[in-house]
Amino acid sequence: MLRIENLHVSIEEEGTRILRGVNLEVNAGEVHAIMGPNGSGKSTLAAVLAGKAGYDITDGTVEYFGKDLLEMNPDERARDGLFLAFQYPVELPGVSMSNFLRQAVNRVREYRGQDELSAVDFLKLMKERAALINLDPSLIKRSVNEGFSGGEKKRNEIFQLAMLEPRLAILDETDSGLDIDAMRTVSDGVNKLRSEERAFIIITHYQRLLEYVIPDFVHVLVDGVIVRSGDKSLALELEAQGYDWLKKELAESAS
Amino acid sequence: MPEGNISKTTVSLEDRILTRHAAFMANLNGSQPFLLGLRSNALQAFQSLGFPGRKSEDWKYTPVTKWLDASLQMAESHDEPVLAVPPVLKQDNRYLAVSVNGIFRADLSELPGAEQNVVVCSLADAFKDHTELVQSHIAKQADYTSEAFTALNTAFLGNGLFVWIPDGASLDYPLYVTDICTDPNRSLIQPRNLFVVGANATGTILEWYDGPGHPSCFENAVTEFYVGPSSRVNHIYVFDRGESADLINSLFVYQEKDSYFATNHLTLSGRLVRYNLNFLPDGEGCETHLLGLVLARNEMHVDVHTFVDHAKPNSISNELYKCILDGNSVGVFNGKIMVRQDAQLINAYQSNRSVLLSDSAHMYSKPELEIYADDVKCSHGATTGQLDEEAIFYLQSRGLRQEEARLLLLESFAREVIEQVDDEAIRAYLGVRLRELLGEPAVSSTT
Ligand SMILES: Nc1ncnc2c1ncn2[C@@H]1O[C@H](COP(=O)(O)OP(=O)(O)OP(=O)(O)O)[C@@H](O)[C@H]1O
Ligand SMILES: [Mg+2]
Repeated sequence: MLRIENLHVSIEEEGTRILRGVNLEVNAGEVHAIMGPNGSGKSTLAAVLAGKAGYDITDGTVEYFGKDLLEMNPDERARDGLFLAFQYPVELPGVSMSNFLRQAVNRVREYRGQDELSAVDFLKLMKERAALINLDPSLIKRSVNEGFSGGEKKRNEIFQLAMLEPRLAILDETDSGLDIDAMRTVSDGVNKLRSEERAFIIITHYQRLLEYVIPDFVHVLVDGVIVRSGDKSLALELEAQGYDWLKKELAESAS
Repeated sequence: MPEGNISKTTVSLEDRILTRHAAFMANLNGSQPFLLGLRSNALQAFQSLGFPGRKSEDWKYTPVTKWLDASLQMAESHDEPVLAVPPVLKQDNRYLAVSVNGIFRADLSELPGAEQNVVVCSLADAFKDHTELVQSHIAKQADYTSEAFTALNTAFLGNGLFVWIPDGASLDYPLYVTDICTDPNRSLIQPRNLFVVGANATGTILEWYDGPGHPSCFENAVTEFYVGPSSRVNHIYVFDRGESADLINSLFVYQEKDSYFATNHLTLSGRLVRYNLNFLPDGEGCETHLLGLVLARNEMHVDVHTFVDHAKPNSISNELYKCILDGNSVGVFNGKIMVRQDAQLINAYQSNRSVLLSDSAHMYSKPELEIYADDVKCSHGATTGQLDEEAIFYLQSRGLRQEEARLLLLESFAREVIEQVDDEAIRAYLGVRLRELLGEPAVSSTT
């Protein structure tokens, strides 16, 4: 469903190069984990896939279900089933959760040729999906993310994921900020959402999440390049040894 | 001959006002000395004050003479080509007080029955039937000696609206107040309202000014509220007369002890709109709420001046004005709060938040706090910014188109003010109207 080839990205205007030739292929049903040191470009990759402005794509291609993803508007990507759970979800004071989500759900449904949900059906769906990930129902009555705790914001991202039923979900450090129990319930939620048609890219620093949501592949991004890919055991290795080991190995093989 | 035949360019607006005033005074049959005295004093005050010039600190960002152009006429009484009451005011469970060009018309109104024990009539009738009451309240708060537009309005005072909610009475339904502007010329109309609310009385007053059509009137309105002890008044003001209507609106509110007054000014269109909103909570235990929403686009200029004068201790005032400015529009907010020396234990809050939708829109925001008591809580804040790009992206990443995302953010911004409108039908209408206005593409050129 997703094929990233030789993707080079720099920051618009200042020109700092962040991604330097990323290659990644994701197929339906797969779960990919991306790990890597702070500042290595993980969130940048996620943002570029979601269509955030402010980046120059200096080289490479991204194909999404055969289409040129980079040519699509962010909202078009979302309607076409791409979802990003943000590392830092923004607060939207005054924007009610239900109002916002109803519009979002109906936009996505419209795109898929489905009818708009009635108010009743929409409420039902909200309740059901909130229960799936144990989201405090009172949060649904508030403004989007406004005054939410760090963990509540993360949980809210997964709630939106569950509402919008994307084909490709990118989770950017959703586990950071979640307490141990929350991590488990959110992981359970994600596992329930796993399906043959849906793929996940999970960006994380911690092997712990990957014990709950078991990835098919683990990739390590260092300085804007995927330097190593493997199965879930790679995450364990990293957990035990850190990134220095990898960097050293890379430096040695380069010389 | 009326002055209309003289070439308009050679006669200044001031001169036309004087001529009209002389005729106005000569025409008054059987008027009381009180009224005659008031009018001529006010005219004198107007003459010596003159229209505020650029040097006037209060009009710094609003050079008002720019809108007082040579084509402006004193309103003529015309046949009544359009007398449609705004459709939104056709609701059940409300009363309606209609004026035409600033002149109250009982025949077009739907007034409370006698059992309500509430008086709604023309100021002229009130001067006759409730002489003492009116004389003790009219032009008491609305000081015409220092403010030219109040002086001008007072000089022609006579046919406005009088509402009296006596002690212990309460209006069971809101009173909708509207004025229909029928003069096809660019004319000066001067509505004048006096609301006297006795002790332990309550009422909701909605003032609504929209079309029909797009009148090009220049409205100089003065409204006075006397709010008796332990009374509660909800006041809503909506201005939506379209892009060629100008407004100067001066509101004066006097509050007795333990009274509650809430006002909400919603400005949806207009060309020049200037509010002078004055509040004097002159007893302990007063609560004053000032809310406002300004939607400006194209060449619109909106200036909100508020003044809360805490004269007595133990009171609360809370002020929130929100502006959305597009096109070349200009917004001004000047919020003055005075806490007098003996007015301890005052909580006064003020906030002005503005969103600029274009690079050529401007907002000037200035708090003015004068605090002479030591045990007070005062806070003020002003923010002006653009729509948050991160927020727009967040919404887009959930499938909303960019325009939908912007609209949702703006509606949410405005909702905080609109949702406080304490009248369901009106609130619903405003929601729809807001969407319509915000959803319209900005006009780049006039067609
Ligand atoms: N808009 C920007 N302007 C300047 N630098 C930026 C911008 N966005 C990202 N960067 C820089 O790009 C690099 C990669 O950032 P990114 O957020 O992608 O890292 P990350 O791998 O997600 O890190 P973390 O694990 O800390 O979340 C960082 O050095 C960051 O400072
Ligand atoms: Mg990151």
